Amino acid sequence: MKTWVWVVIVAVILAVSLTVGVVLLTRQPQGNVAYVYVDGELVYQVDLSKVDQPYLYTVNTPYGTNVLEIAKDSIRIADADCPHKECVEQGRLKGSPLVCLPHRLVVKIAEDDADSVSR
Amino acid sequence: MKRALTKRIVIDGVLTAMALAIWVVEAQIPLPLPVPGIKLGLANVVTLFAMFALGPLDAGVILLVRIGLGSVFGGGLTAFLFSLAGGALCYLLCLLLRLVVKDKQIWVLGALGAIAHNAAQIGVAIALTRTTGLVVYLPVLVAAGVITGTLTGLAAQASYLALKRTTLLSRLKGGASLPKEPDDVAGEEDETEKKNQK
Amino acid sequence: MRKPFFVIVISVCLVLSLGLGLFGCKQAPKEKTFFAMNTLMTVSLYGDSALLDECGRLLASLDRTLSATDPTSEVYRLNHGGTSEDEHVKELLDKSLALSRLTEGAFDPTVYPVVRAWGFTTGDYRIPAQDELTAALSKVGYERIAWKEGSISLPQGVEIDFGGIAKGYAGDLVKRYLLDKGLTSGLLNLGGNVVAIGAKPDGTPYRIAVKDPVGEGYMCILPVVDKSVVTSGLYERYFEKDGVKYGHIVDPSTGYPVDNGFLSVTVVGEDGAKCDALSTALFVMGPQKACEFAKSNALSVVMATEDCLYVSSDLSSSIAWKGEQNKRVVTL
Repeated sequence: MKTWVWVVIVAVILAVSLTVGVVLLTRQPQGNVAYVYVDGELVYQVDLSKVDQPYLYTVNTPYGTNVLEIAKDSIRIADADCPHKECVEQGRLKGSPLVCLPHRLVVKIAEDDADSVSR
Repeated sequence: MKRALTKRIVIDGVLTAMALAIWVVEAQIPLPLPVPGIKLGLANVVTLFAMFALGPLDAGVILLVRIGLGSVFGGGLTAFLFSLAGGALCYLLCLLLRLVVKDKQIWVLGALGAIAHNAAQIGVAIALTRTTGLVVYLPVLVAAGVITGTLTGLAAQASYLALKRTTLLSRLKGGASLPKEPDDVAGEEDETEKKNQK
Repeated sequence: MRKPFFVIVISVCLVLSLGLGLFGCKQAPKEKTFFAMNTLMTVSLYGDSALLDECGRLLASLDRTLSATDPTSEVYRLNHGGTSEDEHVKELLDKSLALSRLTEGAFDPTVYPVVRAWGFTTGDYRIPAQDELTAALSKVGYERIAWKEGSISLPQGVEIDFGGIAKGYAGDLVKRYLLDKGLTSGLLNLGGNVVAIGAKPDGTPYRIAVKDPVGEGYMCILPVVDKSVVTSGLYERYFEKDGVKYGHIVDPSTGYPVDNGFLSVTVVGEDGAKCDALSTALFVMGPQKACEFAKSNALSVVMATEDCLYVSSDLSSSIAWKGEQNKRVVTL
């Protein structure tokens, strides 16, 4: 196959993934409730819009500890004892989840909706 | 024959050491993106180069040894799983692609291999945290992979092609013809390859 | 040289769009809404949409059988001295009597004359005169029904209405039908009675909200797998006169609409008819008795009064409270 064919393929992949990627990551978080999961299980949830005073919440995972800083409409991982502390660098939770991989910890905003309402 | 095997082990060892050194250094570079586990993947230069200069078997061995030693040098179990998954998928893809690709298209393996590498890593991240929501990071990782992969691929390509123009390559692979000045050859290899890594 | 270029670009685009499409789309259920039992009923299922129409027919047929106001219904006939062999009516009466005994009359299908006196059956809300109420109340009493099996007939003066259990029962029937047809995932909302069939196709539980009895939002959200969620409240059918609110849930022992502080009572369980009847019964019992009853019968409940939220221990870890959280939460 000619080289320029490959160039086109790779260029297309780059363009598409870049656009999709940026769109996905700049989405505004929908909903007010932050959910904290360890190993896929919900360990903590908080309605960020109802938070008055900022506070720290410690999550003890079987793999290590993370400290969450929770304020009104804001949540971030403030500290962790994982090797690279990449989770701390992720900053505030925006559209995409906060992750501490070594600790299997994920913080995400979930939509507030329900599948049906009982009344 | 014994001499050939010894030479091969030495060359593979040198390359592994280089890959490891690159890997350890780049692991210290934190990337500004809010994406978990993203790294430049520069060490792949060596793997890719080896794939063409020495063959898939050597490349595979260099890769596995580098990953194994890499986890000893730092990162722990999580990092090990990540490197392994990423490296494995990338390697398999390159194994196939090298059959359809010409010499001047080695960079393609870099780009697509990096995509496979990053995709595998996100897969592992999702499996470990059991959160499928992480897949939202995949497109960005693909894009990043294309960029860094193309660059490392080009580097590997340049090294390989440069080396091909000399007689060193046949002597690396074959081993049947003994070089007249073994020390000189070793020195040249080092310099040439180091220059091309930059 | 042009041809391979196009082929490649197009196939790449196809693969990419396929990937993006699969990634973006979530599987959507097929849904249909029917009007039955004086309310809106929605059936959502992950499966054959032909089943939806059959569900509609089931609901309509059940409505015709059970409606106390429809002169052609089985129940109407029973209330006017006739007999019935209908299997649904038998099943419902059997269940209703058992639940009446269990709740010691807090749930009582014979309370119909009283409910009618207040105008809740027609919408012509009124405060009945004292002697009218006494007369109606004298007809109430599930113990009078001696029927156990065979052809049903009611004692003179007794009138029944399955309003407090029919929707739950309907949910059970539709669920049974859909399960028979091989359905593994679906959601019903029959006038506020929610029935989860299995879990969602991806295995995650259905998220069922309970409406906030005061205001617009949700009181809480519960993860539910394969269970019914039934709520009793006064906020949908009530009237106000001289500053006093009269809700449609009537205490069978006093003949008056209950006013014991309860705003909302939700029962979760596998038997929808039971949940329906129990939510009414607990509401009638009032907070203290209801908490004792729920505990001793190991019921899964969420109940709300003006200043307190009660939740059974099995739900307390998975419940997600919404809205104002300045109420005290008591775990049973």
